[in-house]
Amino acid sequence: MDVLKAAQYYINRIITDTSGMKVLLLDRETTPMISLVSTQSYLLSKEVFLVDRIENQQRDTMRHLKCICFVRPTNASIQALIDELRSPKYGDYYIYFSNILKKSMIELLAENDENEVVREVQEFYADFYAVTSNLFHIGLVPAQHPLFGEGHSWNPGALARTVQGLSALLLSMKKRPIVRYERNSAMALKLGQELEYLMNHEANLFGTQAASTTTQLLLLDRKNDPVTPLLTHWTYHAMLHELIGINNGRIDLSQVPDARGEVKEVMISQDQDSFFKQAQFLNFGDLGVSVKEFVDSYQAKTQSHHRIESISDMKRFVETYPEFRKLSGNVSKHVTLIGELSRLVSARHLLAVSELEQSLACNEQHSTDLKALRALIADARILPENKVRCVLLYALRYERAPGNATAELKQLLSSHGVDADMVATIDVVLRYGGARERQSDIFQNENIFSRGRNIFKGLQGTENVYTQHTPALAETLEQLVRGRQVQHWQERLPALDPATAVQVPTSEMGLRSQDIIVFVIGGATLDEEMAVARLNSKLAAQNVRIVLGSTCIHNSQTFLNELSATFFP
Amino acid sequence: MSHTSPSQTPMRKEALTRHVRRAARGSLVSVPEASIESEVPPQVTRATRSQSASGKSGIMSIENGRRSTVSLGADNGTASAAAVAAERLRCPICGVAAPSLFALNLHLDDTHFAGESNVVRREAAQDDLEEVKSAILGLFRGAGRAMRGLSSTDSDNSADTRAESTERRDGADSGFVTREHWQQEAARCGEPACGAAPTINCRLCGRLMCAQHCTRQLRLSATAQVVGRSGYPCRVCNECAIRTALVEGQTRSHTRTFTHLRRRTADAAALAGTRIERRLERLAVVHGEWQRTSTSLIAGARRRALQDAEQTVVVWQDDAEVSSCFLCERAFGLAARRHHCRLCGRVLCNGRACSTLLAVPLPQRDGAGFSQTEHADIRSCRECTHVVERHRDRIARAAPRAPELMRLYEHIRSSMALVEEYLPTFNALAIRLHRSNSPGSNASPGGLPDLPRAARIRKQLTAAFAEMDQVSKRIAMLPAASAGDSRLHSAIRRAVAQYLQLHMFPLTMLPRPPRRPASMLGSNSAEPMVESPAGSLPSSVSTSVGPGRPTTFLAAASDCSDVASVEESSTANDSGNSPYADRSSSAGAAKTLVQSVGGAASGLASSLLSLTRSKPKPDAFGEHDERVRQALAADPTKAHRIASMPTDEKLASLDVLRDQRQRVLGYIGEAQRERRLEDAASLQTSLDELDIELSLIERSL
Repeated sequence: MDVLKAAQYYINRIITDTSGMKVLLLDRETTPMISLVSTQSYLLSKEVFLVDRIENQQRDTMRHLKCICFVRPTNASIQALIDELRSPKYGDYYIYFSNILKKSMIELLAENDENEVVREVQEFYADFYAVTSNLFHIGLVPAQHPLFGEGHSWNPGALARTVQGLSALLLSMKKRPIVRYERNSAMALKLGQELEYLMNHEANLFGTQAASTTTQLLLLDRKNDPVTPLLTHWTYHAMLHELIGINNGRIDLSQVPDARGEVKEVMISQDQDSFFKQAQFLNFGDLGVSVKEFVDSYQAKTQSHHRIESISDMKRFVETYPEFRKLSGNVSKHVTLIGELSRLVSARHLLAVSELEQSLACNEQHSTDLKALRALIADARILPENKVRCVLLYALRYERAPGNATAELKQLLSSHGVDADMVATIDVVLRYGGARERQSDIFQNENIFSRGRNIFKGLQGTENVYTQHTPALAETLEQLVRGRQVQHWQERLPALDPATAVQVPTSEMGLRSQDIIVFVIGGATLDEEMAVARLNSKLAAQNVRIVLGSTCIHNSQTFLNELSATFFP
Repeated sequence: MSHTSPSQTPMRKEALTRHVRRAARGSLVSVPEASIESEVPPQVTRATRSQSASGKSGIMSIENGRRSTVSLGADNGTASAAAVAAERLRCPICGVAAPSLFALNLHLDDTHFAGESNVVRREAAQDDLEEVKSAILGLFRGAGRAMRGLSSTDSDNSADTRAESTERRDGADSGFVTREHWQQEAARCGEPACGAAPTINCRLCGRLMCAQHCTRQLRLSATAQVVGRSGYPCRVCNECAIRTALVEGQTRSHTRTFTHLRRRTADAAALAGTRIERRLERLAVVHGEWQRTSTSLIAGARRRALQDAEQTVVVWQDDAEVSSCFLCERAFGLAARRHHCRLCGRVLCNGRACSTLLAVPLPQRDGAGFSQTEHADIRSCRECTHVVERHRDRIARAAPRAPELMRLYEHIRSSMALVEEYLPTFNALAIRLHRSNSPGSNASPGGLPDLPRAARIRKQLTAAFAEMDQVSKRIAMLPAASAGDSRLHSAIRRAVAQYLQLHMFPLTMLPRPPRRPASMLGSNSAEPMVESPAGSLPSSVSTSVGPGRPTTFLAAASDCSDVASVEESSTANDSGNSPYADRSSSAGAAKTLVQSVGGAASGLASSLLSLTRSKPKPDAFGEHDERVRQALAADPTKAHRIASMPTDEKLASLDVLRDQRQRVLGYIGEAQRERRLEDAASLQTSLDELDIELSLIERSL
């Protein structure tokens, strides 16, 4: 249950199954998928000397190369393949599709391979973006692939793509899970049904035997927890995504003022970058300490290199030079990134914003919150986006509270020069994930029991005011895995096929052997990934493995943009 | 030899022939088929029959079938004990007796040269590499500590401890792996269906299991996590073993369906291609005939004669039938004249997109083949042109292009295969040597019996690496017909450089021989660093990694220090013509460098001109000379030593020093561009040292 490894297995097979000089042709979508899990130098070491796009018409003819194509079975890619086969530029062709092919596509290709250049046609199901070993997404970037049709329903293209991506993931892990969906979500139900149909239809791929009782696929809907994507998070990975923005592992530094001239873009990868792997879940304070240690160790190395007094020093320096240079690149990358983060935090006064956000998300103090919120809106130094996020959190928490002041706050926003469109998103989010739409009590303020628990939690005190909030997913998973409140969860997350009994872990059996694939419709956040990673490491000894997937990886900006582009009745 | 039974079926014959072909391919033994057939013992024949039967069911089963066949054949062969033959025919590698030459070759092919064993070896090489790396890094760390004057009590490196641990049976029993997560008490085995009394804990999940359900082994880390080869072998329950096994993702092949579907199209295309090609040939004959015989002076008559002749090959469509071009639909008239495709006879216009003039070589007058120089232009429609092109393409495909590149690349691959064969052995030796040479052990000074062998392998490896480097450089220099070609060439070069960087690393592992060559002794006092392990690492590694790669500029300072006693004499004195000339001379030069550069010196780099043999202009380089003089004053022995060198040695070292200077300049430029000023500063220091050395030698010449 390691998403990265699952994808890497396929990539590895694709480039090592044929030997000799090779060129790798990718399409628009497989290019980022591969660049997430592999590197240029790895490809080089496996005799892949050229990588190009299949749509590129300007490729040179090189008959002495073998050609490996790894493409998604879309109409555009099939057409590009046909063009290629009609006038082949390379020697032999080994074609790998990242998903299930239609019969007609095979026929079409066969008809056009007049030169008999194709040696292999295979399906290798690496049709998802593996971000870290716990996290994958389907690549439904809101700007290009709208998720919603009308209100809470699927855009047909997005649904098809999601079914493909999710089924590819299941195939890559050889799983046929029990599908459970959130009862109040039509989208989750629809996705589950489509997936179930596909699994039955392609029974020879998914295995004919009944679903294994230890593997569950949970289809969740973002609308049940609209709070997590609205908060400012303080872990390294999440901050990078929230404040600078990560696009398939790449971070664009062209907007960063003190980035060195030639570095416009850096890569962030769990696989390649050991510092990032360590620091991924560190919060901002610990991150500072950690990067300082990193720089110190680098400096120690520099010092020993700097003292070059004899020829043998020189020799040693030169021998370690490549390693050293790599390290120095990595050091400067992280120092730049963290420097930029800390600049943004202080420039946008995010600590103040975050304190209020956490208070709104975690504690029930209506009048204090309202007062703080009014002060925040009046503060000219705070970015309008952040003001809107705070008002949104207020609106979600106190939606049903007596004396709700959302309307007044909206007016206040407008009077402080916040764009009308941005103010309008408040209503959109309320329609998307307001109390009416949610089935969970994420704020724990709906009944007397949860209120009591909430107050009790408040009394315990918190370690860090900026990281009080834990995503609802963390608790859901913890309870499911430990088999608590079984009735409640079966109510909320019924199995698609009522006949299959979900195995409930009992205390007698312990927590052993559960594989859970969580799929969030409408975007996961990196905070939720951290929750999953923590749970994984906590329960590794009990053989509990969890993987988080989503249609895309959201930060607050993309989340709000996506919603405001949709009409919710 | 035993003879085959008289009831030999045709099918068996066919299978045998296949075997013979394969054997001949693999071992370059060509024996007449009949004689082999008579030589094959019944056992082998039976085996081959089973193979041909299994050969029908898919590719995979052929693979399996073959492998099992072989073992069967070999075993039976031994058992049959055709004693005399068996004595003669023993496998040169493993000594297994074979009943016949045929069976022996088969055995060699499949047991010793099968592709699979290569893969295993390669993986082993990778793992060894990791081990060597960690050993070396440990070495570096040790060196660093010694340098800073710290106590080196904890300097034992990870390779040692790991090697010890692997000899024990279970990591948890010997206390290497934590037991904290172990379940303390349980009534029944952790397997739900099993009721047996538990006796043993799974080291991974900690549950108490019965012996029957806890039989597998995995390598665990100290914290009981699954790790690769580096962990301690531990007993785990069957369920953990299954769950941690690498999941191979589902795949599905459509190749068979595809080839089946393709056959029809491809056959039709091939047919059309040959048909059109034949027409072209006949047209060429017609044209040749016409050129020879047509004598009419009137152009129109000549043309008509040709057209008539052409229509004997392909019948033309009647002009009156069509009013517009069948491809572009343009109406014919005064501007758009009617033309005929000579290959299909249809009427079309002369637009560029519609018709082209194919150049067809004319037949030679003596009727033998086609002319190289003379050709006729034949009008052809777009569709026919496409068919012709495709057909020619198909033929051209058979002959590989860029043979030079392919040849060179094959060279690289064979060198790589050599490296992969020898490197694991070398690594094992190097680790052993390193261990016996480490400060803790009490190996006697002369007690390094592996050293000569390791040195020999090292030499072979170095040669292979140098070969790869040379060839890849030549590939990079190959003329590129297109942008793609040049990208390809430089990518190959990069890949080789990357490979060298990764795999040449272990070569530095050989420890210093106990006795150092006499020539080295003089310089020791000048540089204490040489005494530390790191200082003794040879850097021959880096000679060959190319431009842009940060590698050594002190070329092969190496060979003088490590296995000098073994190979020194051959390398250092080898001059001139061999492909490794630059290496060997640099070895000599580096020796002088190590000897001479001792005291620290500073100063800015003087211009390149000062390095040429001609005397520098005094005004421009006065300052530099001054510095050299100062350096000399600080260390008068240096000048003396240089003066005492023979002239040819001076010249050789001069060349090398210049080369090094160039490289260092390049690195400085690069470092400054990338604003790594610390690097640049240290590089600058080395540049200064080189400068001084250079001018000293120049003066003495």
